[in-house]
Amino acid sequence: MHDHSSLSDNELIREVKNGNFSAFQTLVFRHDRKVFSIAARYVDNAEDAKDIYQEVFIRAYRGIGKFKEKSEFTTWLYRITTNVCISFYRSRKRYLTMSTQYENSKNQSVGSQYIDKNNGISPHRQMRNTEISARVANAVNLLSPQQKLVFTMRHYDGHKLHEIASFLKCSEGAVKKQLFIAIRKLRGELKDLYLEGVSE
Amino acid sequence: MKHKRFEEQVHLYFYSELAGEELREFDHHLSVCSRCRNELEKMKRLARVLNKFEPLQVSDPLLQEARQELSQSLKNERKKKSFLDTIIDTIYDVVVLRYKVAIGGAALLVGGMLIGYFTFRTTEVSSTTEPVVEKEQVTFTEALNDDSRISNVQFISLDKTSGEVEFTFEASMPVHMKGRVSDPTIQKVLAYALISDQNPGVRLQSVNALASEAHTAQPDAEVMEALISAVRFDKNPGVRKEALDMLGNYTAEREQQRRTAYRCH
Repeated sequence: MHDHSSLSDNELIREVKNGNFSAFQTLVFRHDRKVFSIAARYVDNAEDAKDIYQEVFIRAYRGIGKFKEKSEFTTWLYRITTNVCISFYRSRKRYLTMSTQYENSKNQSVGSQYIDKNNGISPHRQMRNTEISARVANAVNLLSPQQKLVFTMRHYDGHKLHEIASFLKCSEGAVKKQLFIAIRKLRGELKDLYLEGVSE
Repeated sequence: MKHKRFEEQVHLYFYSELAGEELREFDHHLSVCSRCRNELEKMKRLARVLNKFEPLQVSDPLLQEARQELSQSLKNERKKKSFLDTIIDTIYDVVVLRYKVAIGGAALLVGGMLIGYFTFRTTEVSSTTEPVVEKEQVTFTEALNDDSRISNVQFISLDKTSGEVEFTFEASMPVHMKGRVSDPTIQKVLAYALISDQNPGVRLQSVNALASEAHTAQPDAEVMEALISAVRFDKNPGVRKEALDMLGNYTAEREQQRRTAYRCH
């Protein structure tokens, strides 16, 4: 396998178009953490996140021949990601299940399976933190698919609103509105937590 | 009003999404409005909760697992793609690129032929169906082929003195019938209309037509069945009464015939 790490995204895309499969793998490794992160925050479930991740890159592989390099590769890739997320949500209709069963979601979440952020604290505190994490997850899951994508991409992934608008192919004003509603809902759901100062 | 606008921009300010004049106005408003400062503080606290208890983060083992699964799927996809690409590329290179003018001409020719065919076909169909629409005489058997049902019976005339009836109906094709009620074919159609037509007016006319020849016609078994059925089940009392009267006529006629025959003996 050649070392493609020094090549830009567009150079790699040209390599892929010329039939160089390993160039596509380089593109995957370069951007897949972000894609996985968006998927994982969106579905709150490791298996579903992997399904979305896989679908995104398979679609990207199928469509890369038609990629015109008029936009950034990442814009195109995240656009695929948001499309897959929204269509995944529609197909599974998990929204209600997840919003009503946050006790289950805390056991199945990516975070609780793979991340232990609570090392070195008392069991009681750890239990309380797990409970709060589940409540946060539940509050995020109460958002509509669009609101959830806008919120997670802005808050956790740090994308600017105009970027999110281009991923979702809608106006920046629409994205601002979705973010406003998302924040209002989260504030309503988590009011006691942030007023209590649990993060201090 | 202005305060509400600023209040709705607190989260945008927090996420550094305000710029230029909007940002300057917001900064100024913040310095004078304690409510908005309070809102901003709440937004910061919420963000701290969301960050500290962020439930989902991607760990390396999970990412490796996903990469392995993806690698396998991409290999399969690559095989599929290679095979399809080979076929499509071959067709494109050999056929489309080399013979594009010829293909374009052929497509035009085929398109023209199709248009011509459909235009011609429409004319031909209409010319063959016209005589039927014109209500040419067709036999009952021809009209009722393939077990077609009689529908839409419409009476044109009924002459009780001559016993002639004229009507149209639809079966496998539109039929126009004219003849004596005593004709068995006409009786069959009338009997059918009597038991199956939706329109009580048509059923009544059918039974009236049948009744007009009750004294001369030999009652057909199907007609008798239709009359009995109408007497027992027809929802319309007028139809039931007429059918009952006709059955009575048949019975009286039969009794008369039986007596005449007895006397001759």
